[in-house]
Amino acid sequence: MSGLDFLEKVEIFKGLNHDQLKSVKKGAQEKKYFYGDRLFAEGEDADRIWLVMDGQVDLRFDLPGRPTSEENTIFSISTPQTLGWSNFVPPFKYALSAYSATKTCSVLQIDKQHLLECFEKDPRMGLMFMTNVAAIASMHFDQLLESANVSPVAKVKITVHMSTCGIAAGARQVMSALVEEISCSDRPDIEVASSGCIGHCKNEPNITVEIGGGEPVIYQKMTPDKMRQIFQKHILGGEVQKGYILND
Amino acid sequence: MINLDFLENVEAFTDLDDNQLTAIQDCCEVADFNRGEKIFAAGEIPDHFWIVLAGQVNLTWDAPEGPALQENTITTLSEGMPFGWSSLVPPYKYHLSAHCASRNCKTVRIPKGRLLQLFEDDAQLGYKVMSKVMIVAGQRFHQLQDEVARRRGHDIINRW
Repeated sequence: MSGLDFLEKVEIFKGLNHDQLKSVKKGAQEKKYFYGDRLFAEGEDADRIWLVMDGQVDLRFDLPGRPTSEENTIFSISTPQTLGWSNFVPPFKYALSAYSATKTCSVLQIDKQHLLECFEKDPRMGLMFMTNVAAIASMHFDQLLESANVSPVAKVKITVHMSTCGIAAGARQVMSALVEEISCSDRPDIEVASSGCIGHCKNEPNITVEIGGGEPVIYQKMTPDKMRQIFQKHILGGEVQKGYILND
Repeated sequence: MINLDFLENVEAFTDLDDNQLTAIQDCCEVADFNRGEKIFAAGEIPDHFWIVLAGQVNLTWDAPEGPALQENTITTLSEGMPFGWSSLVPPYKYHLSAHCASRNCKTVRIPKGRLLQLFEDDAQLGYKVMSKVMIVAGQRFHQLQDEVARRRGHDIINRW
């Protein structure tokens, strides 16, 4: 597939004509990565958009002092999906790190400055591009609103224990991370609840995970990063994260 | 008539030149509301893009089973702040509800069709405005995310 054939399939370039796609392509650079290679790191300036041409890219949170791990993957993207929202929304920094998750993966990087220069010369192209990006943002907004309303048919219940001791230990940040995860998951059957102290103040924040009619699992000393890992591995993957279970 | 000094300070229009601001000015209408009055409701197909001219406006998200409540407010907007960004973006549906939050409020409303026609006639104007609309959309997304988390925590503290 030539570069232009690929570009015209990408949602953010929908409506652009052949010449406009050609001008985009001038700022594009194809790169190949191997399994485990990092494409960009959380907190770096978002200065380019990334289009996955082949293979899979994982978006992960990194834990300080530890190597990256598939366990920390928030979501994965494959062709012809795009990474790039952070380029156009303050604070203009990547919110997660991206890693190659397949033996090899090919991506097209498009320099943000090149795009902005194209848009200066051809504002109609800029208008179409910005409208396409805003339409994707609109879809994510709807997903977040859906996740905000508890489903009456919930099969999974996650309780964040938000007593004053829990909040002092960071329960509110844990709840924020959980809400963010659910908004990205497209899982209307997940119910979020909060409750008071369960008597393990020194191990706060605590969360309880109940899946179907199974035994509740209580996790201790939660952080936003642990919350994301538990969401991906336990709630979505069914694998209890034994290292974080509350010690009686 | 809405003056250009006001319009050039509206976040969505800060990069426009005077000719472009004048074109926007020609589309502006003023609408007054009283406290609690609905400006638009989530789910409605938008007719307008809005700016607060005076007073305050609450943006709220609605639980499926009930009306917009004060405690569902994700942000309160004051003079010069734009709202109703989804009126300019497919699939053209308001995500949130807007109500007058002060004794009275004055709003500037710009018919969606006229604004999109201006974008069509002057693509540079459209590109500049849509670049700013993206920033407003990003702010709303983060405000909603924070409010959802805060509200759930607050409910439980009250029960505890």
